[in-house]
Amino acid sequence: MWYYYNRTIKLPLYSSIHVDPNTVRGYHFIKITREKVVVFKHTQGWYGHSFNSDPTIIINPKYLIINSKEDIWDLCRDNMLGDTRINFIRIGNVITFPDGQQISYEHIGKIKLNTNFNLINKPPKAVIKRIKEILDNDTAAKNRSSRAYYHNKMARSRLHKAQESDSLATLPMDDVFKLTNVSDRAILITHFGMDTILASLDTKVINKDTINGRKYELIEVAIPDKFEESGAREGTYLRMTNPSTDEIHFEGVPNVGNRWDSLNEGTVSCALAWRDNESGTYIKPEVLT
Amino acid sequence: MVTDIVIPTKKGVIMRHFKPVEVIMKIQQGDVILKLVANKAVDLPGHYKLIRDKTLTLRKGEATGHHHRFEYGSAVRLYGYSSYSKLPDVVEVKSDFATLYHEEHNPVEVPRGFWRVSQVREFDHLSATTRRVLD
Repeated sequence: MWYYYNRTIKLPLYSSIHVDPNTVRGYHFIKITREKVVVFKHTQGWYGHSFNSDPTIIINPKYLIINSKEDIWDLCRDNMLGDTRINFIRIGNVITFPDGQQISYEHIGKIKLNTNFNLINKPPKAVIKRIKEILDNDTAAKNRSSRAYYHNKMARSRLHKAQESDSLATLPMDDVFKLTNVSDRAILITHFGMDTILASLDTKVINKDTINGRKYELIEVAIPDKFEESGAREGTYLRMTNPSTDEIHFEGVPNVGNRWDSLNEGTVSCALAWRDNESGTYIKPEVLT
Repeated sequence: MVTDIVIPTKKGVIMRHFKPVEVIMKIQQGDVILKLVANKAVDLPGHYKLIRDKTLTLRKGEATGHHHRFEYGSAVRLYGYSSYSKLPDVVEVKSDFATLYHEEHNPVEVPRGFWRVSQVREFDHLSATTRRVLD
């Protein structure tokens, strides 16, 4: 940026130079006073050209002003702002300046930078609040991930020791939810039984129904998950009694929602229809054993 | 027929549309569901192939060795969706009744007709996947 500024400033007044960092964008540096240069951006693509009527950047010898936050994307992408970069951090975009200062992309207006591309103007309160929110969220997510990694490691160690001494019964049941390896998890599920594991968790009944004299309950189970902020995530299950053996069974169904693979309604009949691959209404079986 | 129709398109591509079929009767034995779609003789589409399985097995169990099967020698014909199918998608019961057995469930009398075979599925919230239930 400063290289082009220095080249432009040596030219006569109202002279310009044209910089094409890539095939889709170009920047026109125009000298408008003895020390001031304005930069206009133009884009060219398949559908034609466009030219911004307002200057993208106003450059003075000691600072520069970027007029629109949208232009920061392109300037960073074209390496026009030194080491300034934009990253998406989980919930929002963050601009990081060469001196390490970070601001949120949202809620910013004009930006004033010094010759090293560090921020001069004080960010507004909304930006400070948002960047704190983004960084706190990132820290919390990293901590959750670290905790989950630690618990997975410990659970794996316990499992392997128990396998060597043939004492799986001594393991805590909630190790099932700590293990991330599917094979390890399957060993514990086979040992304890999924129905026993689910019966030990907190449940909330969403819907109850009696179909052909059989009682069904659609329940929401809080499945422990260290990756989640609340420490648990929802799982929807059908609780029923096996008519042949009188055992209580849990069968997983998708959670209720608007996704293509979700249950449309939180009702027992809707869950049964999904379970039996039936679109629309549930067809009651005449014989069920 | 029982399940689908084949339509040649303008470009000569064969498209297969599943025809909604009215279910006359539904029988469930554990994880296996039988839906009666025709109670009289019908012509199956050409891609349905007869499965020559003397054990008359509808679905196999996971590790227990238990099967959903008809009694040996029953007047039952099994059809797969293609010649590669090893388990039936359509069952034709040719006698008045055929008995379906499984070690963990009560026997079921299946009346005469063409039955579409399907399987109960469940959602595994730990791995976030859908899978067929096996018993």
